[in-house]
Amino acid sequence: MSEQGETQTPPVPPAPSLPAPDVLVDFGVQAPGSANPMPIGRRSEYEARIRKSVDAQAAGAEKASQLFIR
Amino acid sequence: MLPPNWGQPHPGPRRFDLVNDGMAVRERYRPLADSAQLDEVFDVALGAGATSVFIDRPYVDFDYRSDLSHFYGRAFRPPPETTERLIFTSEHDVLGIAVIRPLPQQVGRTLLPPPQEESRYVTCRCDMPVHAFGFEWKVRGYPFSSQDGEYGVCAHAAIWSIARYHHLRFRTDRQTISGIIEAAGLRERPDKTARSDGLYGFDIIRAFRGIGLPALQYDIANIPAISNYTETAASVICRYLNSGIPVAVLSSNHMLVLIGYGEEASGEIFYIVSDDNLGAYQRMKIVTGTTPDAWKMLIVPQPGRMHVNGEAAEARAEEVFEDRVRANAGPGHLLAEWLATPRVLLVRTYATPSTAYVSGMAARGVPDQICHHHVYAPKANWLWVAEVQDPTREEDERVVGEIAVDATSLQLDPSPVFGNIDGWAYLWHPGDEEPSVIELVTGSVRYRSALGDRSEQAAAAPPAFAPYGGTPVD
Repeated sequence: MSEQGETQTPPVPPAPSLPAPDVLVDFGVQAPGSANPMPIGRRSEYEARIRKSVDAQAAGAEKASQLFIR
Repeated sequence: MLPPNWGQPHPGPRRFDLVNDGMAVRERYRPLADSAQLDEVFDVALGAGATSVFIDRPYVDFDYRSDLSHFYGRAFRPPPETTERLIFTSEHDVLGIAVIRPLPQQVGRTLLPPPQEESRYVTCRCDMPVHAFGFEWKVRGYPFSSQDGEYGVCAHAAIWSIARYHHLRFRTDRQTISGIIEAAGLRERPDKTARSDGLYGFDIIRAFRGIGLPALQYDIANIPAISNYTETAASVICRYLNSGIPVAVLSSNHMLVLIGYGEEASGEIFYIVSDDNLGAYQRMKIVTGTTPDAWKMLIVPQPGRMHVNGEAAEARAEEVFEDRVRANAGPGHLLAEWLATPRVLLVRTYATPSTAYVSGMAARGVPDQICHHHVYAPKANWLWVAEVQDPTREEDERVVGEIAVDATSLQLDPSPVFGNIDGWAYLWHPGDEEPSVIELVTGSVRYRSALGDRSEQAAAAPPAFAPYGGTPVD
């Protein structure tokens, strides 16, 4: 099926193939340090978004007790 | 009342031209009752490009047989045990099917592709095998069934559609209405039967959990305030729809399923909704206010082990992206763009099985070196992937970088696992805040998004049926 809805067989992905045995991935090394580290306040905003995502679930659970679906 | 010859075998295929004879086939089922859902089945099939419809009878349907054995079979005069199946085809292929039950609410298990005018917006599609004419075919779309109004209500039909979709797409267990009733904790004793009164929101949550689809839940009105105005109902919904995960909506008396979305030129979002009262592909906008149809609650059943929700994953991904563009070793030239106001770089986040993610990278133009890095990076079965996009770029070079977050990590401390930004690749080791870093490709590296363009596009008018001649098919 294409995005436009025509009838088509879905595209066939490339056939699986085994990797060459000597191909190794270089993941690099740890290179800590920043001349321009993130300000504490800005990091706190990201962390607050993570914490708030839990609160949203609690509010949802409360709502679930109020709705009756026929 | 049953249509004539219900369940009578026919010694060969019965093919009807959909445009010219479709309404005569549809009228065959009028004696059961009026059915807006069956009208919609024919409209959707025609809009999706079907040219013929076959009547396949008798047909033994797994879901109807289950309902019959758990509920209808207890009646003094039970309905017939067989159904009829409509098979919609193009010239050479089977496009979809609809099972017709011998009940007033007649539309049973149905899977049709979306009509062309809505097709580009539908993000939740699965393949279902269909056995017909001596072969196995594959049809693609979102599963639909109307409620029967007796054994199950709209919530059962909505839960069934989500469960069947996840079964077909993500290989979760196959569920029936009786299994859903059992999981909700509302099953009657084996020798006692009762029609359904309805379900509370928490019954629905329990049902999803009981069938192996633990569900997230959101009070729609509170989403902005609780998130400190970093989220809206649309931002939460679209994250899951981009993941191919349907989102259930509860109003004060009805349950719908969102299965896609589009964006108008004004930026306003509309949704593609599966509503068991209407059909699988209805276009609708969020309903706010105090009317009974106002959307109150979102329920997001999750098909895999996903301990981290989308909002938390995106926040952590943005945090580590910023750390990387601030780091001494990395694409520091992107920091100014990242911090620009108004935002220059946008983030779109979706959940995906990790196998689907890695097998799709090459087709999106991700350089081989980065593909290999991510293929061999240790990872969980499910990932949240945050794409950082430059919307001013052409479609095939829109993505600047991606951060993959382990969906099985901690909700309060989501763990990035690997990522890439502008040719740099990252691997986070357990317990280490700083990743291993390597520049695998020099120069500007951009590639295509895994998420389709959902901007609204004009579509051709759907075709029309020839008028009904007055004689139904027998």
